[in-house]
Amino acid sequence: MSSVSQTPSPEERGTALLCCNIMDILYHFYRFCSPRIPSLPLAAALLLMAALLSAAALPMRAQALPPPTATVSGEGLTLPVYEGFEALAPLFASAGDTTLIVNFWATWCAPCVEELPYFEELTRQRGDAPYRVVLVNLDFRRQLQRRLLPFVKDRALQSTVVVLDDPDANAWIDRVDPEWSGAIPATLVFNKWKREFREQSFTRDELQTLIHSFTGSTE
Amino acid sequence: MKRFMLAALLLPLLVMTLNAGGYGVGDKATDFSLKNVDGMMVSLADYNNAKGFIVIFTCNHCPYSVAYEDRIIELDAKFKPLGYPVIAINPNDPAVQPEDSFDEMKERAKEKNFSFPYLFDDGQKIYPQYGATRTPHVYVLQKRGADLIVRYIGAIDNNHSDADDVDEPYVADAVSALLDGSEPSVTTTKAIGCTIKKQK
Repeated sequence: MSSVSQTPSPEERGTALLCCNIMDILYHFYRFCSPRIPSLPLAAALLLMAALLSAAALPMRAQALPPPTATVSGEGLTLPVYEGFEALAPLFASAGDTTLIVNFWATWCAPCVEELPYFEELTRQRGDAPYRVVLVNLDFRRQLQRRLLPFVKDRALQSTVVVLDDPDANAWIDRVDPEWSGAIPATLVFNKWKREFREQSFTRDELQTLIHSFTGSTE
Repeated sequence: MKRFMLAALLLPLLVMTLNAGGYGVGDKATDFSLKNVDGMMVSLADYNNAKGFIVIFTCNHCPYSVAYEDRIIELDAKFKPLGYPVIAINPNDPAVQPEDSFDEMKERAKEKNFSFPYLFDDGQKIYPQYGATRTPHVYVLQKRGADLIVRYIGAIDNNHSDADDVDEPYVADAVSALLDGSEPSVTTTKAIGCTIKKQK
């Protein structure tokens, strides 16, 4: 996201507004409103923050998830739902420069919940590091509203959460990794150079070390 | 002497390697003596008339196990009279998962009116021998002479969330095949389940 470079003259406003640069729009909005609203510097600062936040979210969008087949909403949240492994399968074929950290978990799985903060910490400390955490939830279909959404809200999870709803697990467990027996938690970490699957719970240090071996840039 | 020492060194290594992954289909399974919820010790050798067993590592706390409780009761109702009784074993350490304590097991067995023994793997010696990694995890054993041969390892069926949507009842199919004197067509399957709880 580039920021504004020149200060346009008043005549240029009309054309400048057509351009999609958020900073341009903000600038012109500021110029337009400043004589009319006294508390504008504050409003402008808020808008600027919003713009920066959406810019920060752009790399997330660049690493697009496969299109979900449904969504589940509630508690002010909407989560993508993949009904059938096939819909989510492209995620596992998307080995690129960015390291994907895919953790299989459920709200009822105590060791999963115990290690979630370590995955969240990775997401929060990410900065420019080229990795991304995807939490693949395996809660039962009928518990998504009642358990999963309140859980994601209460813990204010920052990592990407998606729901995999495919009860025929024998048909897809091997497609994630042949080493996986099906017990959760389980975690797959991969990029185009390297791939590791772990059927285990992580301590904070174990997870940091593993991710460090992929990116060389955590901590 | 040297050779003997080499063998003595290698043998435990070999045994460890063989045990590491637990049983595969075709392996001989060991019998055990574990405490049932009624306080009695149960061994597979006690079942003189059985043709085999449906050994299921399961527990109280795991939602997947709970989802399968009624289907486990059905398996026992269907196959015990035909010579394949269900033997349920709780492999979890109650110090890690208090809901899976022996007292809670008794409670659950009573609530659900379990028609099969629900045994406690006290000291967690048995599940590693079998190689169970999750609950529920099924081993279908067939008696051959004095031996118990593993004939199927895996899931109960292919839909944990709805028994009505099952189109591959793996365990029932495997046992039916054995009863017909044929080979089960599916011998290993996987399923999502809870890890077996042990001290770190």
